[in-house]
Amino acid sequence: MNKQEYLALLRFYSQQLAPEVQSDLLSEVEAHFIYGEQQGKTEEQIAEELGDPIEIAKETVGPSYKAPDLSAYQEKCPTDESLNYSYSHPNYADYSGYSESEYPTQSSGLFKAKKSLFTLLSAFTLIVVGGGLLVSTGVAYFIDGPDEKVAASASVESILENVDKQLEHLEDLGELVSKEDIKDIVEASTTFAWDEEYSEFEGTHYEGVIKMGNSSKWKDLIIETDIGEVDIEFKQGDRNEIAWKAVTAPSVGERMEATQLKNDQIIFELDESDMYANYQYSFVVTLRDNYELRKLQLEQELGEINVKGGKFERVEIQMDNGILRASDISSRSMNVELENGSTEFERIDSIVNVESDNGEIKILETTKPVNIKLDLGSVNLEMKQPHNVDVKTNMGAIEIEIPQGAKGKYLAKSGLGEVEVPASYDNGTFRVNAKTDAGTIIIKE
Amino acid sequence: MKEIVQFKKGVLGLCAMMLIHKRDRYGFELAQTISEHVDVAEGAIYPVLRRLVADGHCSTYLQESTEGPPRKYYRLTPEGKIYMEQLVHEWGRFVSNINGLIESYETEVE
Repeated sequence: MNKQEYLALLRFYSQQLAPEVQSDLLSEVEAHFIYGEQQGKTEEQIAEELGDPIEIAKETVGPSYKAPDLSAYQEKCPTDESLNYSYSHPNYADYSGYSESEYPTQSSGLFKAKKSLFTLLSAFTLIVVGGGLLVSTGVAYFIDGPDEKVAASASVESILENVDKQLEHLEDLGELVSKEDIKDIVEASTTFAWDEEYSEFEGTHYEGVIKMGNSSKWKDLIIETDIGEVDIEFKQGDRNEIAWKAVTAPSVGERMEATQLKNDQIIFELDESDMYANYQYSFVVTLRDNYELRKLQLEQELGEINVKGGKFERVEIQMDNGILRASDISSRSMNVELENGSTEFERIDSIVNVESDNGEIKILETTKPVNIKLDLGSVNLEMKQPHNVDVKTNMGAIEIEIPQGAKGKYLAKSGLGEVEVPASYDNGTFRVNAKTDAGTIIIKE
Repeated sequence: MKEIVQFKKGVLGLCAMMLIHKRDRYGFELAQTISEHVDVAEGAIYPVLRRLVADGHCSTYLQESTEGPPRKYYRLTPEGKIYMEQLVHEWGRFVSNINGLIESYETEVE
């Protein structure tokens, strides 16, 4: 990796910092390169001695660090706007290291190649966060290796070939991270890059209303998407009805228009294999009186889900990559399965079970028992009423706020890190178990 | 061994303060010197230096250099000096306690 690439990566990874702190950090590291070169070192040598840029970014930000992920990256650079720039990431584009003369705007092939590389790097960030060593190795392999080829290659196709070659190199890492995982993520990101190049997407607006009046036949709402943003809001009203709007491909839009109550279910199947990233779906669901649905089921591969309101017997959410926000939901149980992504829950009046491979979990104003199992990531929970909590993470900090004056039984165990727990009551009215292999645990009022 | 990584990270601030205490130094110099003593990536020092400044343990000033860009020097503040001395003391206690534990473990094993 050369100086420009190193600094650009550091800038991307440290975008969470305040601008003045970030530019301070970047100029320090840039100076480091200059002093190193004066000692006769090459840029590559210096980059290697400095270590993985994500580590510097992570340490500078502190415990609240969130590695920028694929979906956040895509959100920030809608393609139609960025096509005119030599580089797509806003923080990246204004970086002086990449002058326009070096990456001329008219070279759209080059732009696409760079952009795809960046998408791929973002994907690698996801793995890096999960795999530690793999991240640096993966990125280094990719950057050191075919970079020149990448910069010169005019189409996404050649990048895909390069990725395959790089993956072969990664075989040695078998024990650390499964190759299948890497492949999945790389495939997801390259497919995405591919689609961007080849689909001339112009979103078409669709909308419709499914009216169920006073009928209480309706029991389940199921929404399945692969990529996009899904917003669902539940409201009280005098009838049962779903009003929806979408910006999507015609094949999906037509399928949505044909969706209606079947038996006791409404199922929106919005999967579309050559889907584009900016698909948007919004649903406003009106429920009469205190109508309780039997099931709300949401499935998504990449993107964002926002759910608000509603009363259910159970809620099931499955998400591969992205951001999940849920608030003001009342249910008997809520089960969430996530692979990569962050989660924000507020005022969920339900037993909540979350299983996640990777990501930050924030749950505020809880009233019912919460169980969280996490491979990597921090947990932040604020209890509104005393209830049992079980949190287990393999790596990450845990912070739990209990209500003022609540008397609970606390059990906190960290393999590595500080533990701060208030006085525990053996006959407390509720129990909190928190366990992490590495990370601080704080339980406080 | 993630423990070792954590140990190294924890001690970087102390190393930096001790070196700065001897004389004012700039980041590159600190990164190089520390990585001679502790096996860490040179880049790891920059977040540590930032924190030392943010916590008021160090101040900085720029000095022109004949070779290359102006250097950002770090200087220990009076509070930083007190803090460093506390850390050195705590470190000594910590090491001797842990060594005691290791010795008793080794005797048991024998």
